[in-house]
Amino acid sequence: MSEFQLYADAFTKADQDDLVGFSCGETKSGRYCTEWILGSGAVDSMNRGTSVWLYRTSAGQVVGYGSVGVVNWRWPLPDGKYTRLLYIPMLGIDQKFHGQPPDPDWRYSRQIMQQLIAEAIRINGERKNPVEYLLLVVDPGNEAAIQLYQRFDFELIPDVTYGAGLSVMKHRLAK
Amino acid sequence: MSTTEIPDAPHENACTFLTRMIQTLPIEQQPAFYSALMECSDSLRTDSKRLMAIMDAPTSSPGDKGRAWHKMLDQLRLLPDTEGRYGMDLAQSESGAAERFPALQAEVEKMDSQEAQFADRLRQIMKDKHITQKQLAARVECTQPAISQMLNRKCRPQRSTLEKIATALQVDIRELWPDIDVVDYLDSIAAFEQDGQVMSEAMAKALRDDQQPRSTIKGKTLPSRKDRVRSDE
Repeated sequence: MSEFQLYADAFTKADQDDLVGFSCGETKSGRYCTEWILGSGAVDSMNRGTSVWLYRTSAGQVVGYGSVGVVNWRWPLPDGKYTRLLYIPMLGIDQKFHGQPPDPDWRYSRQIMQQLIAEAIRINGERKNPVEYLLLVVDPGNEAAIQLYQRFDFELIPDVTYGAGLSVMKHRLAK
Repeated sequence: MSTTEIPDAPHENACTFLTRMIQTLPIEQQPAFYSALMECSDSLRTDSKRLMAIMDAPTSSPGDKGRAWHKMLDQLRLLPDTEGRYGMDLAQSESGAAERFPALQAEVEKMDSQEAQFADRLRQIMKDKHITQKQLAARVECTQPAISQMLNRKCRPQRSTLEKIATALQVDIRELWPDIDVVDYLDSIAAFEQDGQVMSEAMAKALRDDQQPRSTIKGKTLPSRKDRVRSDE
């Protein structure tokens, strides 16, 4: 096993002590990624059913976190029926590990995306009526994040913004 | 300088927080930290052990751990101010440390979430203006327990609530939460997670679209570190 192998464990409140000094960087997107996990955002989301994982190295250093959630939205009227959406509320990587390790096969961001997609497929597989798409929202100015998501077959949904001008991306899940 | 006792070296399992913080020091400062710890007086060493216990305690908050770490650096004289004086108060030492050790200063600033810093600011403003939780709750039309939760760092206020609090306290919203962009983003994420909202036509069209090729990526689960640690034990 590579020394760069990441480990994923469900995030709990007890893990918050290990997040002292955790920072996704001083960019706008870095600051809200940090605040979501350090503040009450992650716990609030977990209370709504979201699964959050903390990723660590074999030595126990926290590299980042990721999450997958489900939410019941409604189709536009006149249909108006409920439909369940599968989405990634937030993921973040400590700035110390941005772009690390150099070997793309073991790049932490990619290991995290692989794990989140695997979890989304697993959650979807447990449903009677699986959904087609995995969604996420992204700051349109965060090009590095958009490129990472595009590498994992996410596409920007044209003409759709959410909340504070955020773009929405979709990934058509593998069977 | 005392030579009576050499303290136990901090080790990874017992003091992961301390170990991590030592790693945030510039590499040339790390030997200085260990030297100071070994060569300090008995009373300082006793005090350092007390601070290490705070850093190691599962019940200590991240803020307390950070303050304990900073206090330890200060008393070991690893945080001189710009004029070379020692023993200054925490605010002074943080300011001096920012010049000597920018990386450390950044770490100290990140000890608390913005949410926690908001709670501290709100508490201080309420104290300065002699406003009780009940009075503030009445002014922003929420309950006293809701204010209490904010002050106890148990919830993040939405921007609309922040605006009401700022108006009620007659302060600029950025005095309460300087990085307001973060609040807007987190509000957006929290709103996305609300059940029952009606999606836009454009969103519905995108979700009914079957033109996008199905991804071939099936993902890869990662092993559990907790399981690994358990099996190693």
